[in-house]
Amino acid sequence: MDAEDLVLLATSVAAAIDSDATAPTNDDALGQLGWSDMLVAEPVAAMAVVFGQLGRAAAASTVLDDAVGHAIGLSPGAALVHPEWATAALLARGDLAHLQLAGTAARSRIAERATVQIVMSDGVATVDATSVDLLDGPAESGLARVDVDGPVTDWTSHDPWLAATAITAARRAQAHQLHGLASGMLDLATEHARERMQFGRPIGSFQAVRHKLAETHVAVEAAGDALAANDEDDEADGLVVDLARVLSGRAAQEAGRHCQQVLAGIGFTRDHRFHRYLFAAIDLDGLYGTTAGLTKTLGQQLIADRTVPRVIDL
Amino acid sequence: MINPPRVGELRAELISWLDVHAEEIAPPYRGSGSLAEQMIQLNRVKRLLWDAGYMGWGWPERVGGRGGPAALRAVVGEEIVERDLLVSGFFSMTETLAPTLIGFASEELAAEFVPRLLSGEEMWSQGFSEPGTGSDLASLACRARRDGETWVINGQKVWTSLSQYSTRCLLLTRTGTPESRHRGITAFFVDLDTPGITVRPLSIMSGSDEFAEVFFDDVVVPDARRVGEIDGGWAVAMALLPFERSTAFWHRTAFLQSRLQTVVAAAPDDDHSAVLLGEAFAQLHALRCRSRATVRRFDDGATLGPETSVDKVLVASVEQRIFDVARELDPLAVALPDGPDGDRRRDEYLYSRAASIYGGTGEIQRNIIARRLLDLGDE
Repeated sequence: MDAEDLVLLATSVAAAIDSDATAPTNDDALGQLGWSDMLVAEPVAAMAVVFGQLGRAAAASTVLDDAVGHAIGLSPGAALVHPEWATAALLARGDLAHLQLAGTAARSRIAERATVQIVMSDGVATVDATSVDLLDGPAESGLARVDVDGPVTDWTSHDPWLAATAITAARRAQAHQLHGLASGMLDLATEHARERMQFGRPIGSFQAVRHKLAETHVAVEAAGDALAANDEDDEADGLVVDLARVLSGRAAQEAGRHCQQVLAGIGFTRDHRFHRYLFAAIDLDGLYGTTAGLTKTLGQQLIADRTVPRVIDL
Repeated sequence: MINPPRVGELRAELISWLDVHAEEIAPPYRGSGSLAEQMIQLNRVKRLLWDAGYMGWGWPERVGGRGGPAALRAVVGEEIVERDLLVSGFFSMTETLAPTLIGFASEELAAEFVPRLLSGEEMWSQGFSEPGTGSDLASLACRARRDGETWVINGQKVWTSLSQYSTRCLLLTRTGTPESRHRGITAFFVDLDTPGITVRPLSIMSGSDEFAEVFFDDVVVPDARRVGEIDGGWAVAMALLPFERSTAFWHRTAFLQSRLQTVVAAAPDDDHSAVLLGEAFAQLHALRCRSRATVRRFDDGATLGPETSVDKVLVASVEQRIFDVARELDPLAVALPDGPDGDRRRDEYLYSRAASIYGGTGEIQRNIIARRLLDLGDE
């Protein structure tokens, strides 16, 4: 897909999703746009555009399940139980007659399906939805903690590398979404800085405000460049994706801090859209590991190898 | 003309050449060496690379180069810098000095002098800043007065890197009224042995005397040494930014890569170190991704503009981050260094403090980002 196609796709995705709509509504809209086919034909571009735009609009959706499922050959629409929040690794198969584990899931998708799939390090387990207990959580969160407690009705073994591709797919999707969220927050704060008058002038004319936004712009651009580098390569390995994921997570944190400050009082209300971005960034930054946790893992790898790899080259 | 190699081909060829000539090209000193030794080494390495054909890639044939995209120069610099064969910043000065002459001087002037710079025969310096002119470059006052076919220059420059080792200086002067700002500046290519020029090295906190003040007292320069139009010097000064921010920054990423490598090699194996190193590594990766994209855009003929202020902020913050981490994980090596390599680690830590000052301060870059990229209007 060339740059022009990507822009066109981004425009149609942006038009299809609605930041005020529920996750199932946006999932349907993306489905009508051909999300499943896109994921098969052009997984890298599809993920970049769809998750990037979901972030930019802070729109609710559960299509992360499709992206992860696609990586390990599940059919689109499967409802997944992801690892426990803030946990980077997948669990290994336990007692298939009576599987017991804690995880995280997209609330609306789990609620709608009869069966649920659990991606594990050595295979995919299918359980009845009745075996999955959705725990209470913040109403605005699309994710929920879940307890799985019941028999596995179907089991497909796979190699550990396939499980690793599921994690990479999840982090790639999240990196785009976190980058989109950071970028969306920066747009909100920049617009506010241009329009909000204090002391008889727009607050964006004060250097203290300008520099906070400039700092955010640098973090957003840095993450975007790392994402572009990882999208160049369909076969990008885990390291390239993890670096982009860490940088996007960092950009979302920087944007959250600086943009909140620039938006000040209005940004602290639920009248302004900013809170949705912050909620989404808080939610996302824990599936398949947190930014802080992944950063530490990157450093541990450097220390173990005593080498700094040249991850990309001219 | 031989077709230029691909970047990967050139890299592979250069790496094997460097392996074969490792002994010949290695610095004769341990650690940093003195500034005088560093300058001899700089010119020696450039000469060896020139004679072997590597230094010419990416430069136009009319100035003795071998043609091809700038990415070729970026990769040659990267391999040289990462092996610590010379001071990276000194090597990269070619990236900003040569293009100015190629783009703005007469064809004869460029053809005569650029090969001398590329081949290590000469070093040049850049006379932009003045005691009263730091971030506000358009306020410069060093005066050039027309006198027939010559110009007479009076004034003072500061931060002219390596002037005491240079034979020529690319100089910005005031030719318009004192209030003419960027509209009244003219550039000259001045021989530093011209009567009336005094060079005084400036002592900086990181130990080296690489900077200098240069005084001009009725210095006569022929009009043939004018670079660009009369009162067109601002364009000359601005034209070097795309070069600094593409190839020269790519070279800098190689320096930073090698310094992070040094830290990682000796870091304590604990969680605290892992977090700091992971952060620095991710930031360095972001810088490399950014810089690669900029080099590519440059080679595709794009006009590099205010968006390269992002590159500049990144390169400064990554450099400071890496040396902050180096110091945090091994404070003794910076505080009370031992041996020649220890001196270097202290000096490089101190030098990294300037990364957000030279070449346009961090504040200037953020102002540019706010006004030009975020459309926040004037302050």
